[in-house]
Formats: sequence, structure tokens, C-alpha cells
Amino acid sequence: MHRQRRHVLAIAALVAATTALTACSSSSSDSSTSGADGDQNVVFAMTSRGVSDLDPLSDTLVTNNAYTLDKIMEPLVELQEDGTIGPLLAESWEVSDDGLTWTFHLQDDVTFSDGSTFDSADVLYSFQRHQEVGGSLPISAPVDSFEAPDASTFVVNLTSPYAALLADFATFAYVIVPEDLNGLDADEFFEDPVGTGPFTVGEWDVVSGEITLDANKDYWQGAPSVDSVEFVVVDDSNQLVQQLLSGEVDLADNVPASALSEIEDSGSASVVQTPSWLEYILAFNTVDGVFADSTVRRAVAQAIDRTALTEATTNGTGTPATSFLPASILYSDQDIDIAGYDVDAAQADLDSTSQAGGFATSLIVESGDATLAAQATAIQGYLAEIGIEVSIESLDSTAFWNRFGARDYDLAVVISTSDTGDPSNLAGWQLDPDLIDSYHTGFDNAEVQSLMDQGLATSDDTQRAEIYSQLQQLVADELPSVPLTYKSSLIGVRDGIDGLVVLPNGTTRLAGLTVSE
Amino acid sequence: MSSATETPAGARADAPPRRWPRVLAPVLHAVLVMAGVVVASFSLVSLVPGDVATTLLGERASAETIAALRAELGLDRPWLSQLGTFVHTLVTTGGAGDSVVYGIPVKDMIAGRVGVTLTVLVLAIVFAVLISVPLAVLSASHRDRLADHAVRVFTTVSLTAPPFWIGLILILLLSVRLGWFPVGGDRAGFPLSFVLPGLTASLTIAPQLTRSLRLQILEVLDSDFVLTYRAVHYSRARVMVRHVLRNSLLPFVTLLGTNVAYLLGGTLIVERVFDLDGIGSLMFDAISNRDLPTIQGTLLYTAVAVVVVTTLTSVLTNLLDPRLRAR
Repeated sequence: MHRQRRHVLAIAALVAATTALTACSSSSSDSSTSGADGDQNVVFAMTSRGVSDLDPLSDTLVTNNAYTLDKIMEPLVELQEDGTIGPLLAESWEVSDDGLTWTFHLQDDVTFSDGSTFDSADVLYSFQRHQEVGGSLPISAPVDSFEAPDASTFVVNLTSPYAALLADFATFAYVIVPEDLNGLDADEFFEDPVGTGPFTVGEWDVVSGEITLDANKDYWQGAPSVDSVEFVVVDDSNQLVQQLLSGEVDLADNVPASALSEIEDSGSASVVQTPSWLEYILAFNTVDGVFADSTVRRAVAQAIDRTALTEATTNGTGTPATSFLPASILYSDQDIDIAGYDVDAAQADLDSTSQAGGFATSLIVESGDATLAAQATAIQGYLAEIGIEVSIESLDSTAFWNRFGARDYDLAVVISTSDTGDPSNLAGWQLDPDLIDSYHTGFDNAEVQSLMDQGLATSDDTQRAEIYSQLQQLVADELPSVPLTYKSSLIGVRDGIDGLVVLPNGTTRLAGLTVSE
Repeated sequence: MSSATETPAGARADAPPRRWPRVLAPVLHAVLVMAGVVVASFSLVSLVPGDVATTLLGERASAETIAALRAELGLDRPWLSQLGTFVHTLVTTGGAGDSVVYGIPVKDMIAGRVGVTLTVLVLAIVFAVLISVPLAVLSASHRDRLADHAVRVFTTVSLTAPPFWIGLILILLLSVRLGWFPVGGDRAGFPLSFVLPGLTASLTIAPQLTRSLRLQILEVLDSDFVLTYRAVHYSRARVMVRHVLRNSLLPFVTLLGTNVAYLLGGTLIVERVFDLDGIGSLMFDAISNRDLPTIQGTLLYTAVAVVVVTTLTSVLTNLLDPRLRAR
């Protein structure tokens, strides 16, 4: 009996020791949301993949990478809340009459976070590196040369006019890094990048993608009022909402539309809704199969009640889509006459094709987004009305992009986005077969291509508006995809947090955040 | 569980030449299990549509860039050749190699996460014991009365309720409503962030433990020596704690050991529900990213852990049981 007791004691001791050990290893990061005395730390929950790379020219385009590095490094010009482009590291600029020479006058009192001075040599280096490396958002302007005639001037010489230059220059890929990356190689430098922005890298776990940004106390536009922002990854949408409501996180990106009323009614948090450049679309495989016939595509478009669909699947946070260009994009023409909801016309159109009487097809959709799933189901219902029997294939992210990217599908419900507020960018992704196969629809139309080229070659506002209006009408007739819903970006904000700025591309400005209890 | 206790004991009684097979057999068994894990997980992942090239390049990649990366990573090679490469890495480095997504050795990623998973696991074992022992004693000592029925209903219900559902209920009740614990994440540190996950995970095995311990106690209660003790006017409580419980605990330890594998599976799901960055979420992300070395690595190390625990359990049982020692 005594020996047995000793063994039991030994096991108990072992268990206790293990518990103590693991406790030590896991309790290292106990940060409070906002210290009453001392440091003010804001916790910002992101969904999906965390921050894996801070190099603006990385090959992989991950939203959370782009929207974290833009708080550390800054471009010459910046996208503003109203969608227009304003000055940032360049205080002013002018363009020559022939549209071929852009001259940027740089701010002269800017320092990098390591204390070194920012000047045109840094700008020149950053643009040359961009030209050399390319990355996920390579320079698309027809550049002849870059010049830095003096310390506060930067000149871009083009071979032909390019209207989207400012919009391009405001994106994350065009941020300015110190000349020669301070002598480091890119991998080393971007572990803790030096920039002119309001924040610097604190702690960063590359595998979980969680990162803490510390305030740059010497930020040239004035230090941020919070001391740090901690980005955490919360994959589960239920966790996201509950952590926001319990105050464990202060800001929650991408809250589900279905949780809107729960958050608003809680009395402890609210949701900031901002029109975005994101839109839900129904994409067709326009090359293989029945949807190669644009009349069949038009029948599908007319069979779908986009107003009811949007209301039902976004809890009223979305807007029914008309043009493929969301209203927040420049020259979006919301009066475009896209085939509206009309079941009889849809049936008549379908019956005029070789598919009269209906057919069976399949629709792929990425799992994990409740709105996407609901839209797929709604479309299945609408198309059944005109005799099209849709089977839904819900795929995880990797499988979806594998199928969609290889155009191995008939119908797909997917979210499309733009990098800039200029229509040329979204038009390029969605309609240019040479970029990504016209957003994997295979759509190829010579008239569309010619209008897109014209849209970039002229800088006259009225002319551009006219060109893009024609383009939108043409696309509404040809329908490589049906625009379903313009998505609002939904960010949950705990009460007591103020000063959040949300931009149309979905990124945020955090330098003005304040915390009060 | 009788075979677990009797086979080694029986072997021990035999002549010394049979000693080596007895040591080698479990090792060989373990190696075979590992090999099975490697091959099975490799085949399963290759059956799942999509591969890591899509993950790495994102949504804007053209078909050509994806094909080029696939070739660079060797993903276009035959299945057997890819498996060969992996086994080669495993044998030469003792690890699963580097994660394709993060470029970091899988071993290092696991080392960074294992603390969280172990904490949940150990807490779950503690909770499982704290829940099942009192419930079993209560139930057995009140056989066929109200308390017994109540415990049996409780175990049936919790057996059928999936752990993630229990987790959500606990979150809504204890975190959201009462605010006693954080909703998720490990930012509140130990123990606050780990109590609910540990409790939830423990409920994946506590019902079985309670039921089997109850049966065990009932069996011992019916034996002659208990009647003798009762006859000499030892108090009911004293007999229960000093004699009945002690005699029933051994099979309980064996059962606990064999259930650790099951518990580990539960822990991995629980991590997801409570937004904890442990081995489970590492594995989940690796699968959705099709990050083959990481999937292989996590599965392999988990399998090793399970095999080690199971082996240790049978060793422990041998040590603890005086009847086996006496031979």
C-alpha cells in the first residue's frame, strides 16, 4: 500500500510540474486591452490569413499584408476617405500638357522611423526597385524613366499618357523605403521595415500572422495617440463577434452581416459601414459549355432579382449592383441599363437558344462566407424558375481558387475587388484576357479592349467618363459576369474607441485612434 | 483492458529468452503505426483538390505562374516520387522539413505551439478526473436511486453532445453572460484563458470514464472483502475511499491512458472553438493551405506522442498493480 501511494504521489507531482511548465510558456503574452495607467494598446482582430510578409513587392497578394505594411511605410500620394487622391510624401505635383511628364514636389521635413531623412533618392530607389522586382502589383504605367533632379523633386517620364498614374501611386505597392534598404537584403529589411509611417513593427509571429505595431513617436504628421496596435487573427466569425462584445478585442475587421443587429443592440460596440470596392459577382465560364452563349447569360441575369437577393443575404448592408464598376469607383455609371429582373423575358431569352426547356449545371462557391453561401442558394432558386437546375459545389479556399483559376467551372459566385479607385484597374482584372483570363471567365472582346486602351490614354475627365460609360454598357450587354451586390466593409468598433478611418479599399488609418473608458 | 494487464504479466512469468521480443514488439508496432500515418496522410492530401501553389500565389495568379511554381515545388511529380522525397527528408533530418508556406522548419513551428496544446490537454485530464471520480462514486453508492439516474442521464447527454457545441454554450454562459472567462484567445494567459478549453475537452472523455469507473466500483462493492469490511463496522465512506475506490482506480488509469489519443483529437477541435494557437490550429491551417510538410509533421509528432503515452500507460499499470508486481 505504501509503495502504491508513492507512485500515485509521483504521478501527481508529474502532472503538477507539467501544468506549471506549460503555464509559464503560455502566459508570456498577457497584454491588457488598454492600460488605465500607462500604455494604450488597441487590439484589432483580423479574419482569414494573418500577416506573413511586409514586402510591398512580395509575389503573393494577401490583403492583411498590404493593409499592415501601409501603416509602416507611405506612398507619395494617398487615397482619402472620399475616394479622391491627396498629397502625402509629395506635397504637390504637376503634369505636363502632353501628359508625359509628372513632377512631384516632396515634403522636406520627413524622417524615417530610424531618424534618417527622407529625400528624392529614397523615392528614386523605391521606384527603381519596383520596376526591377515587379511583385504582385507591378508598375503598369508606360514608364520611360524616373529622375531625381534635386533632393525634393521626383520626375516620372512616360512614353504615352497614363490617366491612372495617381491612383496607382497611392496603392500599398508604391510605398517608399530608404535608399538601398539601409544596406540590408530584402528578407532582412522587411522583418522590421523602416518607413515614414505612423507605426513600426513591434512583435511579430510569422506563423500565426499576429503582429503588434508600435507607435512611431517621431511620426512627421504627429505621433499616434495610442501606444500600440495589436493585430490578432480570429478565424471563427462567432469568436470574432463575441470577443468584440466582451471587449477582448477593440476592433474587428470583416464582421459578418448576420451579426449586425446583435452588435448594434449590445450597447457595447457598433459597426462602421463603409461603401467599398468589393462586389459579389456571378461569373460565367464564357468559353466552354452553355454559358459561352451570351443570350443564355442574359437569361440568367434577368432571372435573378438582385434587389431581393442583396437585401436577404447582406442584412441590408449591401447595395444591389448594376454596373460592374461599384459606385465608389471613378466614372461608375449607375444608370447603366443592365438586364433587370424579368422572369418572362429570361424564359423567352432562354427558349430562343439551343438550351430551350432548360438544362442542368453546377455552381462553385468558396466556403466560409455566409453571404456567399446564401447568394449561391438564392441563385439556385431563381434559376430553377426558368428551368436551369443548379447544383452547388462548396469548396474550401484552396480548392475553389484552383478550380476557378483554371476556369474549371460553369458558374461561380465570387467576390471581386479593385486595387485603385480608377476604373482602369478593375476593368483590367475583369475584362483583360491577358491579365488573369478576364477574372477567369475567359471573356475576350476586341471592342472592350479598345475602349480600355482609350480610357487610359486620355486624361480629360469628360472624355474618360464617356469612354467608361460606353464600356460599362457594352459589358452589361455581353455579361461576362452578373454584378450582384456591392459590398460594404463592416468593421466592428468597441465603444470607447474613436477616430477610426476606413477607406474605400477596405484598409484603415489608425494614427488618429483614441481610447477612452 | 484485461489483455493490457495480463499479457506482460504472463510474459514475465515465462523464461528470459522471450524478453527481447517483448521489448521489440511495441517498438516495431510504433514504427509501423508511424509509417501508416505517413502514407495515409500523404495519400489523403493528394486526393484533396487544389495544392499549395494556389495558396502561395493568391487570387490574382495566372495559370502559367501557378504551373511554374508547381514545377518548382515538385508538385507535378508522381505521388510515389513525392512520398520518396518526404521519407528521405524524414530519415536524413529527423524532421518533416520546412513548411512550404512559411519556409520555417516544421519542428520549430510545432515547438512554438505545443505549450498551448499541452496546457489544454493536461487541464482536460485534471478536469476529467475531477468530474468522473466524484460522479462515479456518487452514482455507484446510490445504485438505482435518483443520484445514479441523474449521473447516468448526464453522461449520456454529454456523450452525444459534440464538444464544439458544449464549448459554444460554455462561452455564451460563462464568458459572454457572466464575464468570468475570456471568450477566446490566450491573451488573458494562464489559467483564465485555458479553463474553458480544458473543461470542454475534458467532456469528450469524462462521460466514458464516469461510466466505466461506476461499473468498476459496483463490481468491487459486490466482492467478498467489502462485505467483510462492512461486517466489521467500518464506515461506508471509509470502505469506499480506502478500499473500493483504490481497487477500482487501476482500470481507470488504463482507460485514461488509452483515451488520451481521443482527448488529443478533442483538444484540437477545442482550440479552434476557443481561438487558441496550438497544434490543432496549426494543423487546420496547414490542411487548408495544403502545406504538406506541416500536415505530415504535425500528424507524425502527434502520433509519436500518442504512442508514447499509450506505452507509458501500460508500463505504469504494471508498476501500480501489486498483483502484477508480486509475480
